[in-house]
Amino acid sequence: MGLMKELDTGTPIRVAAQTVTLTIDGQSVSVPAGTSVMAAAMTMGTKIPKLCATDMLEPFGSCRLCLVEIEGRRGTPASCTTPSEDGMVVHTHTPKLAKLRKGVMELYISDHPLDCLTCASNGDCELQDMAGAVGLREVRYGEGENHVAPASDRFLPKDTSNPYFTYDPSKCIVCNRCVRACEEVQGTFALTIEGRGFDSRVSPGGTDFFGSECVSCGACVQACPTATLVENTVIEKGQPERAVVTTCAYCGVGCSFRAEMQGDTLVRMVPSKGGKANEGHSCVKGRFAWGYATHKDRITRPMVRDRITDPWREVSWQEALGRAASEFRRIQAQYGKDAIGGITSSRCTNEETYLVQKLIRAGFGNNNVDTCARVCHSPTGYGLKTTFGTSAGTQDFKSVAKADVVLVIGANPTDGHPVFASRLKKRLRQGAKLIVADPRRIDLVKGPHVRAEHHLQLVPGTNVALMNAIAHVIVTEGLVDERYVRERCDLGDFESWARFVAEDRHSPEATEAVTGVPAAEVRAAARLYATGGNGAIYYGLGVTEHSQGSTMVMAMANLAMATGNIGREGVGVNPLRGQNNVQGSCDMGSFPHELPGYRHVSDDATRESFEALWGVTLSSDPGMRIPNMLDEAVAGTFKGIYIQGEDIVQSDPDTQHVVAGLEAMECVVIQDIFLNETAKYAHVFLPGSSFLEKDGTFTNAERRINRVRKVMAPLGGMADWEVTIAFAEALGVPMHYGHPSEIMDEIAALTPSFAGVSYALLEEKGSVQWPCNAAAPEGTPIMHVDRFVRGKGKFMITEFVATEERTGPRFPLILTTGRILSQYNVGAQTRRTANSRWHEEDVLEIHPFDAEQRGIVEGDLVSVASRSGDIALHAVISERMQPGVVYTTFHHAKSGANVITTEFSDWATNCPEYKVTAVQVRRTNRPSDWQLRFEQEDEALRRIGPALDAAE
Amino acid sequence: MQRPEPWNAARASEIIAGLSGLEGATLPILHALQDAFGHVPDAAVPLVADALALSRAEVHGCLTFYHDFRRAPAGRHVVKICRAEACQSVGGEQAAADLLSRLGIDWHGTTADGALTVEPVYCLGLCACGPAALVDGVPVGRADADAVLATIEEHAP
Amino acid sequence: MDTAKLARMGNQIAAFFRSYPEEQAVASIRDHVRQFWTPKMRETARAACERGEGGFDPLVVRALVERERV
Repeated sequence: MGLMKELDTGTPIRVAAQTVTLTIDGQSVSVPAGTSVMAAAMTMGTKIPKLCATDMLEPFGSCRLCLVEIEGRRGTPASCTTPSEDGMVVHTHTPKLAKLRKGVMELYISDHPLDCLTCASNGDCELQDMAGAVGLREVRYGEGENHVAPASDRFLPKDTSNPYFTYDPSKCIVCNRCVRACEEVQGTFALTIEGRGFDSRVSPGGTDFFGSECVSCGACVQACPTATLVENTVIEKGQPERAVVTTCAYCGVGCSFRAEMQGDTLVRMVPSKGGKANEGHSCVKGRFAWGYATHKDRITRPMVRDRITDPWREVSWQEALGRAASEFRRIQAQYGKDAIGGITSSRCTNEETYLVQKLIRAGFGNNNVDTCARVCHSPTGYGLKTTFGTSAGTQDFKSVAKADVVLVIGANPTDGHPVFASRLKKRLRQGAKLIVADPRRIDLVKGPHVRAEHHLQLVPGTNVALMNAIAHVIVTEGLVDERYVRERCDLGDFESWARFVAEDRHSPEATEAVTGVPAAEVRAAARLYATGGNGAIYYGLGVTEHSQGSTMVMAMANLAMATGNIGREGVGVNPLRGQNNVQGSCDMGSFPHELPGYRHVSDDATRESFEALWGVTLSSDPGMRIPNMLDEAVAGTFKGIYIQGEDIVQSDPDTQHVVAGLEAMECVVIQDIFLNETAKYAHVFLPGSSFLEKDGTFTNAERRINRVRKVMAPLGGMADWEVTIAFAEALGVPMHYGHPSEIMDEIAALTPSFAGVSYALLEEKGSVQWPCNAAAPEGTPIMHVDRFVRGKGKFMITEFVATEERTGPRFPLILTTGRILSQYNVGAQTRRTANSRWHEEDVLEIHPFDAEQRGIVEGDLVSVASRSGDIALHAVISERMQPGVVYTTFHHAKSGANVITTEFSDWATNCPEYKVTAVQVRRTNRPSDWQLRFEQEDEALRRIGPALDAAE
Repeated sequence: MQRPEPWNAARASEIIAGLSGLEGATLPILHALQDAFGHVPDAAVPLVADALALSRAEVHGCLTFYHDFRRAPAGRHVVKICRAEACQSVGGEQAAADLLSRLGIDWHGTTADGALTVEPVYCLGLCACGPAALVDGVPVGRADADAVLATIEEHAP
Repeated sequence: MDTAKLARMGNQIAAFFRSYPEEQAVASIRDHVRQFWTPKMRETARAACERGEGGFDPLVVRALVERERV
């Protein structure tokens, strides 16, 4: 298997309707028009020597190695910058070229250290390869000015400020690949060439890497042909010997990676160019922050305890599973069938999630299963299913390359979905227009080479009012795509909706007082979206985590339908789904009311097909959602829960209520890789497995099903799916699967949208977007092309209903929450990596005006209090806030951000209203009571007792 | 030559705003900042970057590419001596070397008392009167060390 | 689950469907509750509505108490 290095054609192979045919070294080759001579040669197996060219970047033509001779043309043009043409006759290796190339290499090597044998890139260095390729034997240049000798005044020491990679200027050949990668691939422009001539040096803008604009995505490290930029893990361990392609376990972009290994030790993660979601790019988390998988905090032995105040006891799998099973059966006998339930993970694989919900439905005998999508995108499921007929995004990520107007609502992709943001920024640099609707001035509004045409800086909680105002403009100014609506949508519903939004009370002028967005801006933005060409909406939790989350999703769907922006590339309604497998978790039937494939449990035909295969009768009533389970626990009727890969104590709102619920239960079973916050309230702990330790599939925000491949043995001895099977076994519910592919086969057999999915198909195609079945054997990149899944698109009336959470004299500010680039969600993984160097604590961002009124200066400890509770955070004064709105993140358990969030939630799905909490902020000199108690309990509730001898 | 103003962020923002609308505004802005403040301090970089939707690194790259942009204040007087071929052919290098050694500084250096900075420049278009120099912006022909120092006396203090 | 919470949830649902003609709204609320609420939640709410307690919106009361028109 080996390293299976991906082919580098030097310059991108263009996509064009026309092909051209040329002759290279006597051989005929055809390529799409616009493809360079270098890439054409590469496709027929001829490697023209190159240093500054790489196919992830546009050609640059600086290294002068790839020169060729073209009959009928003078001189020796660079093959990377020369487009192939019909009838061209090229010679890639001639005596003249050989001499020129040797001369070029001689110059490069004259100013380069000669320590190949001990260099980190030994075996993976393009400079080394080229010296070999051109037959360099001597360097005739003597001692002179150089960047190599430490004594030289041009010498620069290594920059080791970034925890993940090292920059060694003495090895740099100034090929510009890193600078171009940061510009073209990542879009951050953090690198430049400082100085000129012989003094030219790569620089992160005059500072070191850590102190610069660099976001540590590693694109430069990947692009660097020498050891100038190299991963620290390669410096430590040496070159990998084999690679396994797998999928990242962080966000919903679902980047494909080559896990490059030495045996079963991971050396580095390199983004795969063949990955359709990311096409060779990644962010800091996927590429570098994988160390958590082998962190010392990993729990590898099952543990039990009688009371949560007892220390944990390490026991055998048999004992732990036996305890959990017998407790669950006892609870059911005592309190009823519905007294237990479970939560599936959005981070575990599709197969694992399927098994958990199967265990609950078939094994527990109820439908009390739910997932974390409850607290993030459940409104997406409800809203898009109602309007379009499908609970998922309509496009693939690549579609943004054809968008003309992009509307980003309640999302911060440069932080939350960085690889998608890079694609978006690339399109924006090409001229597409951007509208941002967000209470904060996120980085996309104004950054290097990106400027939003309109920033609709609304007050949190007024999303629907803003959408109605935009819709008002579109309808009253005659900007509706009437033909599209007539052909594809239910006309009756459209007419009701159009009458509704046309009312004066929805005009931008009338809603300005509520939303805080100037009417002129709203009108201009609406016109731009409706008439600017392909209009694409991308949205995130700033849409869904509101009491009108579902309403808002429907409002956006209405806009897309009204303007004909569905059903082709470059348009659509795109939820930026957070977790690596939250889409998959929903697909696999994690909701209490739906079986796999989004079919209601009361649908007899569907339920009967499951009953037939599973050999058991299933309940046809919807089960409990997570908030219900907690309420019933506090009420004393819900007593046992099986939670896989989920940390509700840290991620769910109103922490004190969540804890009260868990404390009231009699048997809390946690299956996870770390002792997380929820585990503090658990009685049985089952060690889980990271994405490196199992086979399976993840489904990303594009509905793309991607393989996860095992590279090391599970540290606890069993992969998560094996643990669930063992637990089922202990409960007397046998499940027989030898490999996750068999689980997928069962899913395919029972679910029409996945009928064509199999591991064989995934091996062949790499990945596939569902629906994938007889009607769409290759999968479905773009949905609703000829018709909506439900038939006709359904316009829904979206009256603005202000949230019950109101500011007032006691709590005059609004707290909204979000995420940042370096930490992921509850931080369980990223806090256990060097990523913490970028974000060691959650802080409160506050506008200068609000800060001044309260006498708060940068760095002050402030108390943030709401009806639910209070916490203390350090303040950061930030102009990107608006007066009246403060912001924090929830990446650190000890901050307790969710202590202050409320119990308000979306009307349709109970998705918590994280984005609107009325708070007061004051200077303080001590942490809050909750935080102090946290510090005390953190230690106490996590204690693991000494291992007991068998004889004791 | 105008005395440079002390650095002031508000004043800098004003200058930047006035020129941001130009196509290829980076260079005109950097020149204007140097004209006003005598140099382009580090603090100016984020202001320029923000105004033009560039990264700080890009502005840094542009700034460091051109030797004419100073990162630190110059002496009270600035002498630019031509080092191009025509001036070389009439003894320009020796004249320059003489001046530098008398002042005890190197190219781009400033004398210890802060009085004088000497910078290289490549062709002032005064080839017929070489060696040529600019002393506080005023062209001087047949410029040897004495001539330069004498011109500065005239401009003093 | 306590009646107050169920009333709040139900009233939020009513607030959404109130934009529609009354009969349609009642049917939609009934359908929503049947799809997503557990039998226990439905029963608790229905009982409270029949007793006139809980502060349920009239549309919700109609949806829970009236039998579905065939």
